[in-house]
Amino acid sequence: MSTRELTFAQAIREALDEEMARDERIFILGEDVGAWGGVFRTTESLFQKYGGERVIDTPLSEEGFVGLAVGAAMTGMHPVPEIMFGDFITLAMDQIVNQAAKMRYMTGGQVQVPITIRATMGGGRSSGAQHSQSWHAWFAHVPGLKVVLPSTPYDAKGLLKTALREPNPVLFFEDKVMYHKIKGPVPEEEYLIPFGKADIKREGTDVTLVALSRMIHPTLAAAERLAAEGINAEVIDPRTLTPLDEETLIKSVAKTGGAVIVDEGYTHFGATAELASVIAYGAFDYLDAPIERLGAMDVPIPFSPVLEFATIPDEDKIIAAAHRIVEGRRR
Amino acid sequence: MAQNKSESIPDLGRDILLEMYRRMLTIRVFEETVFEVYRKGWMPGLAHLSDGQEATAVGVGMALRPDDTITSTHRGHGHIIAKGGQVEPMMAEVMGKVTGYCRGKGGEMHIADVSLGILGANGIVGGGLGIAAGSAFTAKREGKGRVSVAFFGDGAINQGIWYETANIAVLWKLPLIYVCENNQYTQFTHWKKLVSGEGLAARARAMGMKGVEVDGNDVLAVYQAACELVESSRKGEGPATLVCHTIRYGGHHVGEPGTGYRSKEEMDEWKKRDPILLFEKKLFDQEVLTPQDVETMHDEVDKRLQSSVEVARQDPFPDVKEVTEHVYA
Amino acid sequence: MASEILMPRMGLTMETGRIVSWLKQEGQTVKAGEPLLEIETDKATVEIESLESGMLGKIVAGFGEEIPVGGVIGYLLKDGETLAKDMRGAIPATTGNLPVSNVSDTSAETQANPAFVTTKVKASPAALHLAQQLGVSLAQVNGSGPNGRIVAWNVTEAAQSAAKTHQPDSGRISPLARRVAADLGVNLTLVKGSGLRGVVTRRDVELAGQTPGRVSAVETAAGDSTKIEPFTRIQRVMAERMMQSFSTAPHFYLHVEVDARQMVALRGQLLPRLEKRDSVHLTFTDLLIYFCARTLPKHSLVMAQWTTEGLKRFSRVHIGIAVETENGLIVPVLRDADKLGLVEIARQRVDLAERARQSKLLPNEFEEGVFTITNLGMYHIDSFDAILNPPQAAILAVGQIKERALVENGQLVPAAMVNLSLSVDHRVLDGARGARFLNELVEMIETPGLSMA
Repeated sequence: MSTRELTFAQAIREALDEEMARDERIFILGEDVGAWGGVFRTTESLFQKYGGERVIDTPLSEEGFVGLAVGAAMTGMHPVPEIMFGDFITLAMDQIVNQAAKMRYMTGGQVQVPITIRATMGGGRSSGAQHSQSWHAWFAHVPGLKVVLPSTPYDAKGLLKTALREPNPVLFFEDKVMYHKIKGPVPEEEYLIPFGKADIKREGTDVTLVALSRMIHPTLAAAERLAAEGINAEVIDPRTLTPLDEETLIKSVAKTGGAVIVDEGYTHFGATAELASVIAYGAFDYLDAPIERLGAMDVPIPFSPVLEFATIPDEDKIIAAAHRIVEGRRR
Repeated sequence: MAQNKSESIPDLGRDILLEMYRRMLTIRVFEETVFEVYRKGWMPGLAHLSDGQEATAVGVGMALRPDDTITSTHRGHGHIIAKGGQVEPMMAEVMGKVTGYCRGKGGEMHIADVSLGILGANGIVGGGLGIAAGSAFTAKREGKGRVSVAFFGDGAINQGIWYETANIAVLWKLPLIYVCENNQYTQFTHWKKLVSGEGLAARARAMGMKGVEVDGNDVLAVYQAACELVESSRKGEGPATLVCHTIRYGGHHVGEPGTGYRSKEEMDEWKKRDPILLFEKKLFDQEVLTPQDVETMHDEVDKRLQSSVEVARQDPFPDVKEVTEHVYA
Repeated sequence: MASEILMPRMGLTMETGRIVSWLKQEGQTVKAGEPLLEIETDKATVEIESLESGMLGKIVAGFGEEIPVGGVIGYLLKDGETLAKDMRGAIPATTGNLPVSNVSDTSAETQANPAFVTTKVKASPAALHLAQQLGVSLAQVNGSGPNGRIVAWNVTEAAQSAAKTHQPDSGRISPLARRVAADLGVNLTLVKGSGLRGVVTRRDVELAGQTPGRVSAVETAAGDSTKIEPFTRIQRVMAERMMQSFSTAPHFYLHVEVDARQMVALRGQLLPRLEKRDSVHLTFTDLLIYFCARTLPKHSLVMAQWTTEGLKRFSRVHIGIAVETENGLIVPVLRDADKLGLVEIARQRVDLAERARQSKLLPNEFEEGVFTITNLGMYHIDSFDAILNPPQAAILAVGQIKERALVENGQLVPAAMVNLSLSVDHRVLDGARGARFLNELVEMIETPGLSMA
């Protein structure tokens, strides 16, 4: 199987391209996704290839074009609205939460809503409090939605292709920093990654490190540094929050006895809370240390880099948490 | 611009006229029956009734093809019946039975029948506007000339979603007809206190589409106006807005008498122009209908509604095991 | 005023001592002269006795800490004394940290230390779980985790050195035996020593490792061998309960021969369907549980229990099912059996039996039974009388279903029959009452449709 190195953005673009070629019901809509190719270049050249009927530049109307996308999905299309900065998704909340998520259930199964909403997440670019947030936890809290956060180009392509074949509403979160900074091997041959299947990115025995989206990268780096100290960490990427692969998480912690959960969403009531709860319940008798949660600090994300980086989990913080887990324990 | 009132009956044929009358009557009796059902405690939740608004619903509903779609409001029973919805599964849905249109999962505010192009009544004010725009988008792609109609009330006039979708609809020439059923009151407040400028039809024109106002209690006037707008939309001329002025007889929901904010005089004036009686008189005058016909039809409709209640009462509730079904496809 | 416990001087050249283990926990009482802790000096590991009687109020120096001679390692409280506020130490009873503050503090550490509650013996869930499995009392264990928390490896270590802490003379277990025990995961408390003066040898441990829970061949100097198999906890407990039940409750027995034809036919009807529809394998025990559950509520005295204060009445129908396991007889309880349908009964019975065999039952699954059914039919026993399962007042013993001769309408016909024996506590039920219950049960077995009425 041959692979090539693609950036995160390129992998996403490829998934869109392949699926649009395969299924003419798929169309992209959003701000500057067409002629401009997307502010993060994720839809580059798709406009030229598929035309303005299928790659549509919308007015600046998140509620309007997401609402339209919901109606199109209910009547047989598969729209892919793009929310340029995940923070703006708040403008479309009713369409996503009260309409898309509930239409199938409220009609007793008469409709399906195959809509894939691509939204960005993550800070670290001095974009300020309204352009740096990560809202995956909110949507995981809504029955009827599926929530996906890939961390590598390989995962991004496989998961996005699955999303584009999924007959249900999917929130697909893409970390902005990863778009051009993270490269990885992507097979030439077609592949899909199913939802609800976590990925053990590093096997270990002494502590479980669970990380979402971009946080996988400092977590893997932390794991290498811990290995040098003789602490063998297992790193797990849940990949999808809904559906969630509880089994992999629980089995891992039953093995290692302790977990650190790393996420860029806010800590208070964030995704880390649910993951910690799942682990605490499922691996209760095997916990040898309290579960550690590292999310974004519970403050609006500041602009000045010194402040901003203090609010985001990093290698050092992950290592410190891992140390607390293994302290005084021996195998 | 469409006529504001219809002076005579256009040459529609007796069948269509009778069907119009029958549907209006069915809506009226359905709403009255639901009122009874609610009062007897045979249905849970709330009931939002549209008696008094029959002409708007039927005038638009009968201007549509079976494959045209509609979205509706929380006060949607009339729209659904006007589009061909059947009272039996509606009554069952209202009572939360598994035989209802939505297997008891939607309830009286969320009835849908996708096979009839009814994309759902909606509990969020303006909630159907995005969906209707999407349906229009798909219709345009399909190229079969179908249109999408969005029913909404005066309350939705100020929801941002109207402006966002209207803007897109005009730019993309979507076959979307906005039908504003202005029943004068946004819940308990008169609409004139809440809407700036000259109202929705003017706003629609400012956005670049046709904006027409019509007497919402004159079913033929509504029908004519709707037909014109629908035809031009079908041809690809883009969206349009039809504002129908009407009144709801009941309160905002059953249990709310509707008298705290509306005077008796006001209501009496409106009742003089009851849409069903108005139409009936025209039909008598033109000898399309006799009083005997009317009685027969009343009997039939009454019987049908009573029977729908009896059947729905006997029908089973959904099995609790179904609670987790239909979340995902 | 509490008295200080000081690092004692145990040798001429001793300057510091390292705490090896505390033999008492905070809050425990100790008598003068009783061993209190073990320390390691430059020469040896030594046991230190308490100089006074009192309660160990505070441990200041914990496991592994090196304290100079004369340094404070703890506080002893006598009657009425309390600890003064400044008696803090290396292991505070509370973490003393800030509550989770998510605004001003950038330190991730405070976010991770939300301890608002104090407990005397802190142990991780894993440690608790292991302690249960290995039979280790946490009071004997010292925690090496943060703030003195007992973690899993402390328990495994304690299990292995348990023999050592119980026998002050550390010569009782050879160092080699100890090492082998650690390797094999053998609990030294269960190993009997066959060496000189009862010392536990490597061979003893190896034998123990082969047959867990049982063992040790003890050889006397004369060369005879008599095998003594020490009891497992379960065996001991079962034996004691049997004795207690048999000797305190006056048993009497009611016997009936029951026409099982209808029950057999019913099972024949349901078995394939339930297999297909619900994936359950319906047994006669399930049917009997169902019938008993529906009969008992009408004879609630059968579910009552004799206590010294009076008759204890119960209304919830929790039925115990006797299950044979490797470790002996276990009676898990099927709760609210009268509210369950056949399929649910079958499912739960299978699950309880499975888990009973794997020793995975939860405490509440043994408790609160008001009636027991024991079935030896699968061993071809025709009939037997069971001993009451204390504190219950009745137990139903079921024999095998067998074709026997039945006289029906003056004719001799072969019919599937089953013998039931109801043992009853005569302090709770008399013959007539017991018979009435049994009679109604038999009616239901012979005409199963009655259970639906």
